[in-house]
Amino acid sequence: MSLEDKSLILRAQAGDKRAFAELMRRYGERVMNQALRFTRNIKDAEDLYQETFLKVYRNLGGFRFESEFYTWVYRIMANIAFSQYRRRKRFSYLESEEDSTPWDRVTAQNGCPENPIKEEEGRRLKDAIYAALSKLSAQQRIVFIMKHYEGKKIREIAELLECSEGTVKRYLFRAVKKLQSLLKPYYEESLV
Amino acid sequence: MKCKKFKRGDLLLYYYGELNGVRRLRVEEHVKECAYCREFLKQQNAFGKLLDKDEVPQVSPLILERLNEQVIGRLTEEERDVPELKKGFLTKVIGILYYPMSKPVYAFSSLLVMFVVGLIIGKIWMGSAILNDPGLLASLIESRSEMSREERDYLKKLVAGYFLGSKELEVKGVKEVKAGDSGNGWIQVDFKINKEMNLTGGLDDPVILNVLRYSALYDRDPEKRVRAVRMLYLSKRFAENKEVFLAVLLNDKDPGPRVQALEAVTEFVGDEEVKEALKKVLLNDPDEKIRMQALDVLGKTGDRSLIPIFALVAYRDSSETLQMRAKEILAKLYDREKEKS
Repeated sequence: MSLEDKSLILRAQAGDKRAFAELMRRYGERVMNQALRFTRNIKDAEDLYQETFLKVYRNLGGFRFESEFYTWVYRIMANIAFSQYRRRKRFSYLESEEDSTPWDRVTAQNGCPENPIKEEEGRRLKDAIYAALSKLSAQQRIVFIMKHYEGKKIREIAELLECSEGTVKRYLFRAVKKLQSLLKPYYEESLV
Repeated sequence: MKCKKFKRGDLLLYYYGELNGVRRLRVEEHVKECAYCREFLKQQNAFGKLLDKDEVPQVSPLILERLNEQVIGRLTEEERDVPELKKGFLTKVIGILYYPMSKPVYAFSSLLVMFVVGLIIGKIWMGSAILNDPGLLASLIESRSEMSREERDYLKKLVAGYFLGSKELEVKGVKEVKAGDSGNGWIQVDFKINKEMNLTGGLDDPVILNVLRYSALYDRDPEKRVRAVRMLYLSKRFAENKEVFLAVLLNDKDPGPRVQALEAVTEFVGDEEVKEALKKVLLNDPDEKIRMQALDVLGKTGDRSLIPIFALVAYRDSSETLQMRAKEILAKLYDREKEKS
């Protein structure tokens, strides 16, 4: 952690909201990327982003500089995602017709694609993956993302989500099984 | 055909690098020979590669800026709603109140503690209410059918003793159940504390004696006061009852109790306080018979120091009979003096 970050955290701990705003600017992109990974939906990601930073500010006094600041923020976000979305089972994407193509709102901010055909193929694949991921339960999805995309050890995931390693394995196996059954047509092409 | 040696889960753990040492080697050796497991891992790799094509889109900095502003706005709003000083205090109070409910076991314990505290407070309050409400106490004593006679009498004595000094207790009557002239008589006291009750006890019973003293001093009925003084006299406890006797003798407005008190102290005329009281009675009591009785008692002492008192009576008492009697006593005293000299 840089000295500048440390100074900002100390100032934010003393109630300086401008320092906290600067921290959000510095870590916001990583946090939002992670939120999108967990939720796969811009609306839910925005909610998760805000809830995470609100909780970070409220609990900032408890940060003792024993870990990286982002690791601490990540842990908070993972817990919010795991506990909040546990109740909802699925992220709100499937329930909202407005957000039926989750990437629209995000990519719309970045202008038009350069290669429309390639983009269309990629988009079709992403939507397929997205649709498959959206059919997982929240727990299965978060465990799968942590394991498959972030390469975390099962022990580490269990510790982060405050559950047993057996539970993590169970979620992971079910997630893989379900995703494989849904995406088989796409990856079987490459096997032929 | 499925592989019987390794389960799907084991192969997944191998794929995700969760197996170490011997377990990993076993899977690796097995995969070389098992076509099914080899195929499974091949598919797993293809699946992994497919997912690698997935990428998270970049969110516009504008969106992030808006979100950051909203977060700061919400934080500012929260702080405006709860000022800084109060926030700390409120947070603590809420924390304290919330703490017992944070876990079921704490919640259960809190309820148990509240129940026990409630019982204790209720008991103290009820006890206090009973002690301050003689009617309730009297009803309670009478209504408890499971109590033995001894227990009931004991409670009644306690009640009578407790309310003796207050205006709540009225002594309705004092009966001599068993006569005794050496302090071993047996008395029944009828009293009323909103509800009429009676209790029986010996003349050595402190509660009975207290009730009698109370009755002797404060009972409205002169006959009851007479009876109480007589009972106290029969208890043969002069030292303990002297003050009551003298108070009745000097202050009772009716002659009956005063006569009874005079009789009670007669044999203790040697006591200085009794002698002083008799002198006052002799000089001031409105009842001639009582003054006469006091004169006789004092006359029999042969005390020369009483000569001025006798002289006063002999020349100033309103009753000629008393004057005559006083002169006789004086004459006797002179005769006795002459004999001595």
